[in-house]
Amino acid sequence: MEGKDSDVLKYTFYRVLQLIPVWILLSMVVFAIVHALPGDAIDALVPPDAASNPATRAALEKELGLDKPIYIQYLKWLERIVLHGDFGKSITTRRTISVEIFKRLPATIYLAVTAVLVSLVIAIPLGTIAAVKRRTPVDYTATATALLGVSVPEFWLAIMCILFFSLYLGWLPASEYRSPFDHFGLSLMHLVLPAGSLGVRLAAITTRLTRSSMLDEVRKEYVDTARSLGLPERRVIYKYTLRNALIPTVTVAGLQFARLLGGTVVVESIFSWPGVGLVLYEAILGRDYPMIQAAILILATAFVLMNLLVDLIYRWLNPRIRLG
Amino acid sequence: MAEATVTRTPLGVDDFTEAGLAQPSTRFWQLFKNAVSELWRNRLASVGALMVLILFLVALLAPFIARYDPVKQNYREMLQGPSATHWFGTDKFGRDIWSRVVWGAQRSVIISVLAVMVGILCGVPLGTLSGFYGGKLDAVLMRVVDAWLAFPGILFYLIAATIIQAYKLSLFWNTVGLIIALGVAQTPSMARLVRGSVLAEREREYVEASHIIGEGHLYIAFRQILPNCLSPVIIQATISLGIEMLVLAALSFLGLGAPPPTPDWGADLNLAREHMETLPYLAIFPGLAISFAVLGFNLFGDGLRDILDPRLADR
Repeated sequence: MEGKDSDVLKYTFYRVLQLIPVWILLSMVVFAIVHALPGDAIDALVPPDAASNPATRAALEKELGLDKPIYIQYLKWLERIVLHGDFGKSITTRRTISVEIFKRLPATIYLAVTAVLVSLVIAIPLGTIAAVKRRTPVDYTATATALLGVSVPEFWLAIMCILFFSLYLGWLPASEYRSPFDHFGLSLMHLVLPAGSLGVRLAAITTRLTRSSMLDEVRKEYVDTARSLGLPERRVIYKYTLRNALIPTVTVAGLQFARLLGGTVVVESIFSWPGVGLVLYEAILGRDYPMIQAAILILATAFVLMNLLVDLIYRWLNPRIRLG
Repeated sequence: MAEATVTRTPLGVDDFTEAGLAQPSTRFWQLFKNAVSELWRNRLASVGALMVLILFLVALLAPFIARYDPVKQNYREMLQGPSATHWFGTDKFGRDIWSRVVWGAQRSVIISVLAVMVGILCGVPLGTLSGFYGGKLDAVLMRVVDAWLAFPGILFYLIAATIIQAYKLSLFWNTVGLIIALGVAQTPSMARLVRGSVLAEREREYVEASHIIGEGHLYIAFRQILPNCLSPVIIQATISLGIEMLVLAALSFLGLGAPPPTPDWGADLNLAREHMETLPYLAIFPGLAISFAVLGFNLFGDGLRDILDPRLADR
């Protein structure tokens, strides 16, 4: 028992250790954005009026360390972010970036969590039925629907949902966000379309996965054993097989969640959902490069951390996986 | 000995049978006939193949199919619904949507095909060398690939497209930039895919035989091993074509694609948002086009997987 615990600890430790070079690489890419742009970095980092005055320009360059060699600039930038959480100020709104972004994080997480839940609720039954009724019209329909779902871009699906449910039927609001703490029912109404259009696409991916991992599982020996012992088919499938088959499904759902954090950019912009994705979209439109850097770094960090978490959960669910 | 070790994948090449060396044209015809009959048996895949064929034909014949100049503004006919003169209607500049969708198909096809080719041209040699030689090269390459795969793709695309946008390039160079960004992003997963198959293949007896008779390393790696590892690449490439189209559409939807007035599905969809209440069809057709194209590639890719990789056929 003790050996097993220390194994888990060791694994966790190594995975966290592996994360550090990945994150450093990531931060370098984000740092490089400003320097890959045409013109001087200072023009990308401060508002145009401040950059046009020679005196303030020189002072700002000195303050941001732009007169130093590039690796020093990078280290200084990293120091400000890691030690002080300081991403600088937005060019367009002039507000402190870290405050702006962290204020918007809850809305994105709320949307992403709901979308993943929606996808699981659709995908697990659909994938299971497709696998149980393999090579029947039910299976073909489910598989084809899932393929269709993977092929439709979520932003078009979102627009079609708005057209149909808001403009044509008038059932649901087409935009804006209400906090679930202010008015829960209203908040849900506003959540349905964005979470639905994100969730359906995820569901398509997860359905395929559930189906194939169910098919893998049904072939295993313990299933034959259970059947030969005379257990009812229903029980074999739903109680034993499904449970094991869900391990990869849940893992992928976790990875999808991480991916969603980045993928919400489009959907948030359509529904004016005030999350990090919308911040990033507005920053891209307004060429607000410090804001772009910050939003991308935070989303990417969340992505990497989620991957780690999912990996650890997977390992915990399925101890046969060894450090590769 | 050689007889027993020859591998036969549907599109694989075996260098050992005499028939294979003697009559390449007959062999190719045989492969083609096999592929067509397999495709016929797999109905979803044939639907996919048909959809892809239609897409490529539309892209190729765009100048003949489009009925109007896709960028020509005509304020006398703006914001019209679908009619006999304008099949898909017109947008707020009076441009014909049908013509724009058709030219958009050409743009999407060109970009995604070239991007996937960039991915293959960079990824396949890297993966082959990495798998064949192993050692330090392999270790370094695979760590880079790992780090890459830990990076969320959409954010990379956003970064690349933002930078390309900032240079205010001409349409041609802007497109080249997008192709390179999309292609480079494909490279690591391509390399890893090939590396895995090469790793398994290099242990086989026919490779050993070639080493013994003194064939050159590069000859063995690229002419003997690689052809047997191409099935996963073909499957991946087909599915990637669809993914590239989706990414491209998303980027142009966000205003990070081609500069206007280039006909582009994603950009047209974004334009249509202004008129959703009055003219919903504006948003319907470009989106249908994207979904049609991507669905075609997915169906076709799925079918190819069944045909080329029979071990996975039942999954």
